[in-house]
This record gives sequence, C-alpha cells and structure tokens, in this order.
Amino acid sequence: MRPFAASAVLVVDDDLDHAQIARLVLRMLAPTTGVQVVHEASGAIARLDALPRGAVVLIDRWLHGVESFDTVVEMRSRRPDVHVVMLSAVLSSIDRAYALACGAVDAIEKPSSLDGWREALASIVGVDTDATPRAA
Amino acid sequence: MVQSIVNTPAPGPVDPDLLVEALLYSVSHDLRSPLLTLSLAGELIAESLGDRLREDPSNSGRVALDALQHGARDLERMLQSLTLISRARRRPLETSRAPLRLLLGGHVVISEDGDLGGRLVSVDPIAVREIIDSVCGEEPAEIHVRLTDEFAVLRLPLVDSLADVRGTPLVTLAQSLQMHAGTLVEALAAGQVVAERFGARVGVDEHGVHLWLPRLEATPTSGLGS
Repeated sequence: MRPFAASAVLVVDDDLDHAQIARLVLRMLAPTTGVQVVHEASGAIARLDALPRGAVVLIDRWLHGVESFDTVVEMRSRRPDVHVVMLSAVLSSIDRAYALACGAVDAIEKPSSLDGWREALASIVGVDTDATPRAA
Repeated sequence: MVQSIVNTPAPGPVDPDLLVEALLYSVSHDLRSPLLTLSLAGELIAESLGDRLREDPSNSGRVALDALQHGARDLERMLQSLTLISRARRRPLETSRAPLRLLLGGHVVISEDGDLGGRLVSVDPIAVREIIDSVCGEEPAEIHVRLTDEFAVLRLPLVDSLADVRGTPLVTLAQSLQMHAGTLVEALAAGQVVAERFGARVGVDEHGVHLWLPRLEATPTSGLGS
C-alpha cells in the first residue's frame, strides 16, 4: 500500500477491541493525527462531511453482520478526496479485488501481531515504524 | 393467521456442501476476530508490563502471559488451516486440457508405458503444479506415471513429514488440526479440495503421494518424445 500521510483517521469497526487497538497503535505512530472511532456504518457516514481533506477511513469488512462494500461505495461517492481502506479478519484475493472495485484504495487482513498493525497503519499515517515508540 | 401458516411452503433440505462451506467460513472468520484480540492484548501486556512481570519473584504473571500467547498462536495456526480449506473450496478454477509434460516439467518421469508426456488430462494446471511443488519442492524428483482407463496416476516420492500419513490428506487433517495444521498435510489437504473439484483425487500410502488426474483421450500424433 502506498503511504498516505493521512490528515485524520476514522476507524469504523463493530469490534470494540479491534477499534481500540487500531486507535492505540495510531496514537503511538502519529500522536498529532486526529483519530475518531465509530462502530456502525451510519455513524461513519454521519461523520464523513466533517473529515478533513486527505483523511483515511479504516472500515471493517463486516459491520454488525452486514458487508460494508456498499458503505465504501457511498463514502467514495460523497467524499472522493477521502481514502478508504478495508480491513477484515479474513480476506481472500477475491474479497480484496471487490473492495478495490468498490473504491477502496486497499483492503488488508487485520494483522495478528502488533508489529503487523504498526507496519500497516504506518503507511496510512505516513511514518517510519522504526522511529516510533512502543507501548510503555 | 391459520391460513398464512397453511400456505407457508416447507423449506427445502439444506445443501450439505453449502452448509459446510458456510460453517468453514464462519469458523475461520468469526473465531479469528476474538483470537486477534487475545493475541494483540497479550503483546500489549508484554510491551507495557514486560519489565515488571520479569521482576515479579513469583513469576506467575510471566507464566500466565506466555501461556496466553502460546495458546493464541496455536489457535491462530489451526484457524489458518480452516481458512486455507475454505479458500480452496471457493478458489476459481481454470480447468484446461493439459499435457502431462506441462505438469511434470523439471522432474524425472518414470513410466513403464513409454513416454506419456503428450497424454492429456483435464485439470487446473496451476493447482496440480502447486500440489507437486508442495511435495517435491523445487528440486527435481522422481515421479512415477501410469495410466488407467480414467486417470493418469502420478506417484510422488514419500517425504519424511508424510511417513505416518495414510489415506486422504483432508481426512488426516480433519482428524487432528492440532497435529497437522501448518504442515505438508495441510497443504496437501487444500490441494485435494481443489483437485476434487475438477475430478482428480489425492491419496497417500507407504509408496508415496498419488495424484489421479482425469484423462482426456490422448491425441495420436502428440509428440511423446519430449
């Protein structure tokens, strides 16, 4: 995934723990980047207008049992300047291709390690993982 | 109310294949989410409390954290196995008429039936090569080939990691995810799932790994000499 240097990040995940971990890692990587968390597609759409130009939305592939591809399409339609990255616990190459066709700039499997999260999210906020602090 | 009940058609029987597929996907996806949480929580605890845990004279915190992380890794390994099988069931197939020489290139082919390189089979060539590569690796291996009415039968060498495996890899994997997840049995089981979709079979016995590839009638003029 090409780096973005996101101006802000909106995390959309119905799994509260994953959302908090994403926020925590983003704060470690880029303490000055604004990070918001919502747990429903409707909440994400509602916050879309307020996102700054160049923001990134990290959206889970399943939200409360519903696939979020349509939400990606709607987000890209309403805010073409906002990048959308889809995350999923399990993602096939077909799922990824569909996410890209819906307008996501990337779709990735949620990493199973903190280093994996750091690497994935570092490219979104445009920082070098070697220079970022660990949890302490 | 009674009328609407009377008019409600009985649901048809559940397609067992669809049910298995749905369960496989559900298990591999839905269980991975909480597992991720456990794995990441363990790492966060290790990073934030590691020094304090090491200084604890009772060592109980360190032992508990290690156990949590080992258990999470073990679960992850087994869930990856189920995910692999689920993906094999949904993988797009590109079945074509493939000459055996296309599938066996780079290996030493041994046959009592002469040169069978031009004999055609109906397979997804990439899927078959993946199975062969998983067993033989990148080094040239001796592959025995014979023909039956229905199949071209390939016998790949029995590698050490399959020494105790007999029968079909998928059944072997299903009998013990704990033992076989992440091993060659897992790769062969996924290959078997794909292969059976185009009519091939995969089995293991004391002589080696057997692939039964569905034959097409060989063209009489096909070059057998190369």
